[in-house]
Amino acid sequence: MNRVAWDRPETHRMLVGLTLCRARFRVSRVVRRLRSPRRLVATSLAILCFLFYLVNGVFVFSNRAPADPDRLRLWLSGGMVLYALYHAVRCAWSRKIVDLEMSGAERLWLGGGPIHRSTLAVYHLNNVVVAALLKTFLLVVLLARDAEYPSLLFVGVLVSLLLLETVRLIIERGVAGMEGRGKRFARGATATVAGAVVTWILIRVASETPSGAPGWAYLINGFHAVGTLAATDSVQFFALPWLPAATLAVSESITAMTAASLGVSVALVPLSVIALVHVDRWSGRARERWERDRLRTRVDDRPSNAPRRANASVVDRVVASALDRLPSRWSGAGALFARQVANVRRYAGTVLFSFAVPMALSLSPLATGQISQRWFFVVGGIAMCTMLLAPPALRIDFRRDLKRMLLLRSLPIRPLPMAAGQLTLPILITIAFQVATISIAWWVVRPATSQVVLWSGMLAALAVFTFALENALFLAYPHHERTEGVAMMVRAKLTFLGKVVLIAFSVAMLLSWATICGRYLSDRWATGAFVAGSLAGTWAMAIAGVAAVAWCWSRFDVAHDIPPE
Amino acid sequence: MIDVRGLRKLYEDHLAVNDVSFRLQPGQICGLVGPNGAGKTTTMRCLAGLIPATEGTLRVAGYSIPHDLIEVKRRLAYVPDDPPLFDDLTVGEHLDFIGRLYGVSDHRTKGAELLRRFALADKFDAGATTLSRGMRQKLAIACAYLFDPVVLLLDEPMTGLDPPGIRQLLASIRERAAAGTTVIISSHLLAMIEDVCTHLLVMHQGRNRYFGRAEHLCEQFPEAKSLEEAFFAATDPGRNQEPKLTGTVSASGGVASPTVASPTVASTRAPIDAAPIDANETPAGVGEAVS
Repeated sequence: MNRVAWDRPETHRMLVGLTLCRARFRVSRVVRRLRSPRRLVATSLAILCFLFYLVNGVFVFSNRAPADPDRLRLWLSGGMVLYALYHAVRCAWSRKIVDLEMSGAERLWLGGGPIHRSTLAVYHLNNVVVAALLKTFLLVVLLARDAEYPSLLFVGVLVSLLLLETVRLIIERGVAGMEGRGKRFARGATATVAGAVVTWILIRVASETPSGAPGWAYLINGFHAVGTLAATDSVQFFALPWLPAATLAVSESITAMTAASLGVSVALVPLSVIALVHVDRWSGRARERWERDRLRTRVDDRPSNAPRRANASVVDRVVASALDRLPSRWSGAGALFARQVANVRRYAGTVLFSFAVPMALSLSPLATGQISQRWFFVVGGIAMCTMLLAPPALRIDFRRDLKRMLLLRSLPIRPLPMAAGQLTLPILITIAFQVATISIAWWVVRPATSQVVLWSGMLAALAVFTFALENALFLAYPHHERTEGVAMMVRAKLTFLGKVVLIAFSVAMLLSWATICGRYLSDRWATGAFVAGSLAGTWAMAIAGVAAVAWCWSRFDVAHDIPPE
Repeated sequence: MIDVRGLRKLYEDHLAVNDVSFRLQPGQICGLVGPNGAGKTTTMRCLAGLIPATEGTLRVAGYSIPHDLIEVKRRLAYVPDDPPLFDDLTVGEHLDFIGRLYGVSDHRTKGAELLRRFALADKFDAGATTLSRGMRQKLAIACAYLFDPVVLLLDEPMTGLDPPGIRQLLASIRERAAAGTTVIISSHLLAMIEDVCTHLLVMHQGRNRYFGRAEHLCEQFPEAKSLEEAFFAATDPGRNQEPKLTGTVSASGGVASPTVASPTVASTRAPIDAAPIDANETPAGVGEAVS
């Protein structure tokens, strides 16, 4: 056990065979289910989206001015470091310990089989190759105009993504081996670095954007600031492992340097796997050491079956008291809500951190000059965060319960209370974030009361609608928590696209309604009608969204809808 | 074949297994019994090398855990309660994969025979997700049997099985033991497995309450009219306020008998300290109480 052990090539070949066999099953399952109308809709949308992207790539992206190869190289390598930093923060603040992201079957049959951990690491990487290939293809379509050799660009991007995946696992396993002071240090360090990054970007945007500039200028300068940050020496220092692949991707001519970059970048993938195996071994041993230390320091070595807390906490008492007052029809929803509260309390730190950055981003327009625009930008920022950042940060609804669907189905709770019970807590947390951000913005900008009422009400409705939409989509097209692959990527792109279209449509509707109110009503009534109409419209959408979740839940088929893990 | 000394396992701050020791020889079938939360599954998972023991010495088939983990895994099969299967493989593909993984020669013929024996032959091309609970259990057992492990750990194997399935399973366990396999079979229900077990390991709250030949458990509790009553007596918290388990290695290398220390029984029995618990030895110490 003193050195890292490796299996023979036959074992790796056999595991590649397993991956292919599983892939074949999934493909045939997809083909079999294509006849169902909802799958047909999803597939058609995915194909349309893909074709649109391809056509756009050929006719639009290819006609723009090419980017400077040096800058592209720095963005490519630096961007990977920024993503790795994001992942490090998530890992450091998460209490969940993930063992090479294996499923239950993999843990039993592979983890319990005569296979070394090194082989399991390679197996994991093999399983993400297809997803990495597709991501690479999409990126190459976007960046083809900037590279002299698309084939080299393809190899460079693919290697970068595979390297990123291994680095992600290294961070995950590294953090899993930390406890006590080490873990506290990791949390402090990652939070400090992440805070510094966000502050740097905000200062950069504020300094580069003239006072009173339009909103899109902040957005453009925001992207520019991220690009500049990725190109800084400090980020590039950490980007060293990605530099050969980035250099390869932007090669302007085939030289000895290109060959060297190709060789080094490809060689870095197995080297990163070796690093992962070493970190994994260290992590396992560290955890065992911590466990032994804890055992030694235990005062009482008898099993502790006694209840931990004799007295319920204030939060427990408040929640229990509120739930006791619910009518019996909704008591099931109350029980589900109480369960979510218990879950969230364990991850309170992570939740708070997840919303600290969106809050900082939403409030960043306060540093600009124009008073009227500042308020709208803050509100716009909150809306963006509510739609795009809150759902992935608060996966404490149906999306976390795929493995417990049978249990949920067996509960004597009707669809609407079930939807309410599952969705209430993430929605309340999001609304708390909105209220806190709006309060700060109100304190700085002092907008009219009607504005505060209007936007607070509409943003709350947006939170309800967003989580309802996410959950309805999930129930219609369920997937496991850590699913990777082509389908997931297309799904993420489509969902993002759908949300952006929805935001644009909502803004257009609001403007139209404002125009109608202004044109047909007197000044005295226009504001009131606009506020009331907007609130009624958005809340009608939100309620329809919750009804859609209830409908999707009532149609959810536990026997057929749960996908293979 | 299986030698466990002073096994302890800590989860966060919960001590799931506390100082468990026992030894089993080839061909012996040990019933690992105890109420919920007794530490049965944790003990099995430590033996299977799926989770590391916090403390203790574990040897399986002459190999040490965790130093020779791969060699142990090559020789050991563990079937958990409600075994997870690959949702995207068929029944046949599961057996094919396990056959290749363990380098079983002619695994297809052997796999087909196992499927026939467990009444799964017509499910060869069925996906794992289409199988019933009992069928999943049978498939996992077939996968475990495929590579003829020298140590077999079955965690609640009868859950979900139909009566013919249970009968077939128990018969197959006897056959394997007769061929030299060491088997540990866990259950909440002693009555289900008492006929097949040569030995019993009774656990309660992470501790070893009794280990020895099955028939000697009754001797431990003279007032018990059946093995099941003796088991309830052994795991009755009212009777075992402060059970004392020696579990220490004797001068001769044996392990002291970790038997029950029921206050009522202990007073009538002579204390012993270093009786070997090697299960194929005469159970002189087994069944004896420790004062």
